[in-house]
This record gives sequence, structure tokens and C-alpha cells, in this order.
Amino acid sequence: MNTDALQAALRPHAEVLRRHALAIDADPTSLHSLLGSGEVPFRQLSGLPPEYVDDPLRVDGEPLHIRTCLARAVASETLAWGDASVVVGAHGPSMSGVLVDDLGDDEQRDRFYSVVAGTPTWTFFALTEPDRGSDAGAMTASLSGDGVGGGLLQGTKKYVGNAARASTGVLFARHRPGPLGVGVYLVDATRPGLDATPLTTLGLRGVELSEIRLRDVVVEPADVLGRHLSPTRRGLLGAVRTFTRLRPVVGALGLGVAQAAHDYVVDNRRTLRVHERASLDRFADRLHATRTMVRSAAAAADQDPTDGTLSALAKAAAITLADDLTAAAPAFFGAGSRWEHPLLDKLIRDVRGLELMEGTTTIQRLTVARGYLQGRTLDVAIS
Amino acid sequence: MTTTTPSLVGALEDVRAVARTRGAAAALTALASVVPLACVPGGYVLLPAGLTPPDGALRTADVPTPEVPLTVWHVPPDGTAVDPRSAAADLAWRTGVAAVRLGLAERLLETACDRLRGRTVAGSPTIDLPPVRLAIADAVLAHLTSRALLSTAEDGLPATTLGTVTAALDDSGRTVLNLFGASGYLDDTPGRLARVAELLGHASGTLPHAPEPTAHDGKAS
Repeated sequence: MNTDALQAALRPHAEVLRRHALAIDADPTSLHSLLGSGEVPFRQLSGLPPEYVDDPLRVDGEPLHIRTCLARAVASETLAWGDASVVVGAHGPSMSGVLVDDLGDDEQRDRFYSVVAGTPTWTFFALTEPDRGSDAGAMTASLSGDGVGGGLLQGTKKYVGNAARASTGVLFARHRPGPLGVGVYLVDATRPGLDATPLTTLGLRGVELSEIRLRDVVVEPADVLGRHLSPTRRGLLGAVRTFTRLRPVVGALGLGVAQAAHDYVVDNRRTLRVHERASLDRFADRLHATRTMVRSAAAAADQDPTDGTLSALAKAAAITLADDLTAAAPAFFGAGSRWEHPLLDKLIRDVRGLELMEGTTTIQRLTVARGYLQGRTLDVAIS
Repeated sequence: MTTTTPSLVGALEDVRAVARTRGAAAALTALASVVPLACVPGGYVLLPAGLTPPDGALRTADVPTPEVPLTVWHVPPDGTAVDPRSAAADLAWRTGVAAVRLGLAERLLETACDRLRGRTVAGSPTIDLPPVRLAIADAVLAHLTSRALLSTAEDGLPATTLGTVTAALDDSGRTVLNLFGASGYLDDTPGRLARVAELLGHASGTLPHAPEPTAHDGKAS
């Protein structure tokens, strides 16, 4: 894949996102106007399978289908430069699509994508719970029965992107103790007993983070993702592959935000002091190195999604860089710059949301250390 | 360091205690009762309702807090040099704001630890996890560093020392906020507490400087 060509093709769309970014940050409901305006081909950028997109974008004359981890990473970075909040908050299969691709059978995939590819809609990826974070061992959302025969869902999920406005999504719930006891289910958001309400966040305000309450929500056997797979390949254990594919993409979002902060300083400070130039040069080096790590991790995830070490490393590096760079940017413009240059304030707030997606930097660093000690991180394909 | 001025140092300790127990607005009000509000041209101050902003200050933004909102006021630059007396008064106010920030930082850490004591991860108390303990220790170190430097304040911290305190509290604020996980990302306590502490530092934590000419007139997009 020609990543440079892809990035160049997507840059104009990122610039559209940038023009709307502050308005959406101030009033998240204005996202709907952008989504329906036709200014950005969200549908073609959303990661739908080729059979559901009869009018794909083209890059160098070839149809563009953003389906591999590497393509998602390049697209996410490029568009997040414009507004990470809209990248995550837009219609489309998003994270749940990746999981359905990994664990769904043909009927489930078709059922999911028929909804998502039809009228533009959102999807949800319901894993996190209040007071338990993403600790699968402590998961309390439950499904009655044996986990494959259907049952009733009970419990609460929280901090789920787009859930309050989604049509469908995937949801993790426990049917028995232990790691094999957590299943993943394809759930229609209109099912009785499923009630999702939006939360108000300090950043990524286009995402509409939500809480989902489950009371006797019916799950049919046909909703069990991975039903055609062995018990160790379905459920939470099966979703490990999905997490490996998703972490470089979240890292790429962070990389886009970091690049946005860097470019804002470069574009809006004509003359820099010596130490300021040195600081920007160091950040530029980190941007280059982190981009290499993110894309290497994405390419590795496309080849073998069973080892999550590189993905964890990529996400940790990218979010750390984004946090450092966005925190440093206001000083280039002096006290008060977070009000006089509101994009800088937004970038700082958005990075914190990315820190929370797919595991915090602390968790990623522990994964990296474990992988190193198991001899897994050394063969990084630097390109 | 020279001999401290006990009355000011004691007053800053009281302001810090108010911040820790009652929040930013109450602490800034308490600060204004012991240190005259001052802001050099080009500077920004965050104030609760009830405190009169500096002459000529422009209302810039509002900042929600867990208690009552603060207003951001900007004193436009006027092209004149700042006289020593005004500069000293400005530094004294900034030093007081640093004491407010320290109290808020302590409040945030206490809230984080209270929350974590009731949680577990994989069956282990979250408060006992090594990464959590390291984060708590780093925050405590930053707080004590700040407190040690504030205890040397005479008529105000020197600008470079103010910068040291600002950086320490900035870093600890980010570290402690992460301890809240996603709950710290909601527009609610403790996210608002962390944000107001951060913005107080942004406004008052370093002296305004004249950046190089920007590429565009007015605000950049």
C-alpha cells in the first residue's frame, strides 16, 4: 500500500474536519450537520467491506477500501489531524466492525453490515463498566444461560462511544466465572431493556460517550459472536486479536493529534527562539519515530494479530508523545494561549480521551515489558 | 534562601488549606483577603464572582469548577514597561495562586485515593497496585517540592521558582487525573477540579512573555 498516496488523498478531508473542529467541540450536536453535509465522504472512509461500497474513493486510480490495520492507521492519523473527535464520532462500523470481522460468521457479518451500510448510523463497542474499567475479570454484565444458547442480559456498561445514538453494536458479558466465561454478543440497540444515555465529557466531544443499562435484554443464539469457533477462539479470548488490531489505530489517532499540535506551532510562529526551535526539532524526531512504530505495529497486526506487544508499544508511544506535545504547545504562544488559540486547548483535552481507549498507557507499558521479557519485541520491521 | 516572611507564608498555608477543603473559588477569595489582586498587562487571572477584576480587564471565558464557576479575565498589553512595584505585586498574586493550586492538587490526590480504596483489579485492591503506588508517590513528591518552595516566599516567588512549582504541579495533576480513569474524563468532579487547577497554572504559573511575531494578524485558526 502506498501510504504517502493514501495520506495525500485524505488530507483535503482532514482539512474539512479541521474547519469544523472548534464548532463541534463547542456544540457537539453540530456534528450532525457535518455528517449530513456531504463535505466529507464518511461512508467511503468508514471501513465498510468492499461488497457494501459500490462507489469507493480512488487513490492512484485504484479503489480505496480501508480494511487493513495499516490502512486504518494511515487514515486515522491523517483525519485525526483534522479532528480526532469526528473520526471516532462518525457513523460507521468503527471498532465493532473490526470485532465482527474477527469473530462473526457470514450471517452475523451480513446482518451487521446490512444495518451499518444502509442508512448512516453509529455502532457501539460495549466493554467497560462503571467502577471496574475494562478489567474483564471483574466484569459483572451477565448473560443467563451457557453463553451460546442465548439468554437475558443484565448490568451496566459505561464510557461507550456513540452508544446512545447507535443502531447496533457488540457487547461483552459474562455467563460464568473465568476467562472463558466472557462472551461477545451482537446486539441491536432497539431491543427492549437496553437503555443508553449520553454522558458529557471534557474532550472528544463529538463522540457522545454513553452509559448502557441492560435489563432482561434478549440475546438469541444467533447473536453469539464466534459461535462457529472453538471456545478458546470466541468471547473475550477471541477478542484479543481485535484489540491487537485496534491499538495501532488508536495510536494513529494520537499521532494525528500530536502532528496537529506540532504543525499549529510551526504555522503560527514565524520566528522561534533557539530553544524553541530545538524543542520542535526534538518533537519532530519523536513524530517520525512514533509513526514508524505505529505503522510497523499495524502491519504486524495484519500479519499476526495474536501478539499484542507491538500494538501496545505503538499506542503507548503515540499517546505519550501526543500528551507531551499538546501540553508543550501553548507555551509557544504565552499565557492565555489556551483561550486565544482554542484549538490548542481542544487538542489537550482530546488526547486524554485517547489515553483511555483500548487500555491506558500504564497497561500498554506493562504489556511491552512482558513482551520484551518473553523475547517478543525485538523484530520490529522498521520502514 | 533569605529569611521568610512568616505572615505571608502563614497566609499562604491557610489559602492552601481552603483550596484543599473548599475548592478554588473559596481559596481565591481567601487569597484576595491577604494578597492584593494584581495582574500585569498581557496577563490573565481566574476569579470567582465577587472579586473585582483588574482595571481594564476583558472577560475572556468561564471555567466550570466542582463548586462555582470562575471567570477568566485578560488585561490587554499596553506597550509600556512594567514598573517594579507592579511586577512585585503581580508576582505576589501569582505566588498565592500557586498555593491555591497546591491545595487543589492535594484535594485531587485525596479524592483519587479515596476512590481507589474501594476498587479492585483482578481481585487485588487497586490502591495496592505498584503502578498506582508509584503515581501516588510521584504526586506526593511534587506536592512537597511545591510546598518547600512556597515556604520560602517573601513578597512572592522569583519567576524561575514559580516556574518550577508550576511544572511540578502540572505534571502531578496529569498523573493524578489518570488515576481516575474514564470517570476523570466526564465534565464533573474530579475532571473539573483537575482542569481548573491546570488552567490556574496556565494563567498564573508563568509570567507573560512577548512571543515572536505570529504569522497572521489576530488569532490563528
